[in-house]
Amino acid sequence: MSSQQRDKLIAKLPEITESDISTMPNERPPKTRFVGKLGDGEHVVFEPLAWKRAETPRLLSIYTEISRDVNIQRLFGIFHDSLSKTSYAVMEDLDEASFVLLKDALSNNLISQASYLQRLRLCYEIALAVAYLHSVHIVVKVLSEESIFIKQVKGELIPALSDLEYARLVGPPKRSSC
Amino acid sequence: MSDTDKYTHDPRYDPPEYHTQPKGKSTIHTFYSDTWRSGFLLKLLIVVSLTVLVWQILSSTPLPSDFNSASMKRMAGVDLKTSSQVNRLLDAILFSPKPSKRVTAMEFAQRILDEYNDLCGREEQQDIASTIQRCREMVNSRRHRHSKEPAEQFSGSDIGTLFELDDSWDDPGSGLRLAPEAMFLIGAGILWDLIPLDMVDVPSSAVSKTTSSPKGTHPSLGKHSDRLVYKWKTAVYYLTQAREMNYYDASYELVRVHYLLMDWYNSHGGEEVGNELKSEKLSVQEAPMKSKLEVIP
Repeated sequence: MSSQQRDKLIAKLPEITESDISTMPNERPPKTRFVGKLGDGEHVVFEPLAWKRAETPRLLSIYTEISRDVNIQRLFGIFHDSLSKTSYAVMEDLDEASFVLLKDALSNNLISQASYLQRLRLCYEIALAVAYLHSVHIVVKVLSEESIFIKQVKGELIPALSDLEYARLVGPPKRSSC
Repeated sequence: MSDTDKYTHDPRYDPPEYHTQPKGKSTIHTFYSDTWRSGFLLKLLIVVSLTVLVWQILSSTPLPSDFNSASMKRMAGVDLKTSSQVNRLLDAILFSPKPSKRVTAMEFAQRILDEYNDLCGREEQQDIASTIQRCREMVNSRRHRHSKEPAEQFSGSDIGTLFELDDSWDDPGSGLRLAPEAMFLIGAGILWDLIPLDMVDVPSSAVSKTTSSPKGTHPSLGKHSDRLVYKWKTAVYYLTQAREMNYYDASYELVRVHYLLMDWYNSHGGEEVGNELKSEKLSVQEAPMKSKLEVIP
């Protein structure tokens, strides 16, 4: 992929600047994950992006294909940090957003205390998110109790699929615009 | 971040045939470079993983460390409380020898949604039936013993259910034809003090005549006589609608409330309105009566 193509791809994602961030550590070692807060109070995780052999990080390729609001961990944009000389994917912090891992939800009775209807609804939401990803040629690949987070909102169980950095883009190759 | 070395493969979510593939020849990672194979994998891996997840959530069971989809059949004793439709779906995906015959994630989602909607419909109808039965029994009880204050009233949720049903008569395609009975139960509930008056809202034109509450004040909060008239007229409003929908059992309460109103108007010199009500009463009396009118205490 040429640097021009790469820039075009990255341009699809919003850029987060320091003025958009209200809280982050003063010391930020290169290529190290850290947490922070955006100006609107959203808790976020800064995941370092690895650029190998001029290839776009898979996470970004995957997220540029997603154009609908589905139940997956949100990506707010890219932050190019001049201090650590590292680019980060600014992701929703699921831990801070009261999400729990499905594995923990199963062991701490969050799931068993829900009614059968609520559980069925949760399954539907997960299946729908997977179906949407398939429709845009993304194979989730990692789909287990450790890649799905659950949150209880007004009595309903809301899922969030994470670990999309391991997903794969499949399907017919896209036609070049030129 | 994009380094897949960190990825730990969880074999518990693999389809059964994955374990029988020749070792070392085709690994999970090499499948993705081939569109056909990846399409195959899409069904093979994801839908099966999804099915195991669904099974886990519906049964609220953490997966044992030695679990795999082939061993799931041995765990079939876990009561999923699912309909045969969902059981068949899970079976078809997990135990189908032909991956290509398995459903896609979208079909899978649709089948779960169908099951969800069917269950909602069933639960709602059961709730409605039990609400109507409960309210009906209380109205019958009040018909026989109305001289004392009622021992209990309709619950808030029962009242809410009845008001939700008041337009179910015309719902296209709906199996519910309960509006007449709901209207009757609301009207009778008001008359027999089973529904608190402040929980009812009717068009002011239907009850404004002869109620002299100050503007902006709910008539149920006014003078005792005003409250009574408001209550009776509100009951008339609902009972008349039930009667107009050919719910003949409403005639008993309708006649009774008209007598009460006539008495009140006559004692307060409202002859004109009383005559109007009298003509209404006569038309109602033509309807077949199910029980004998009690003497007003």
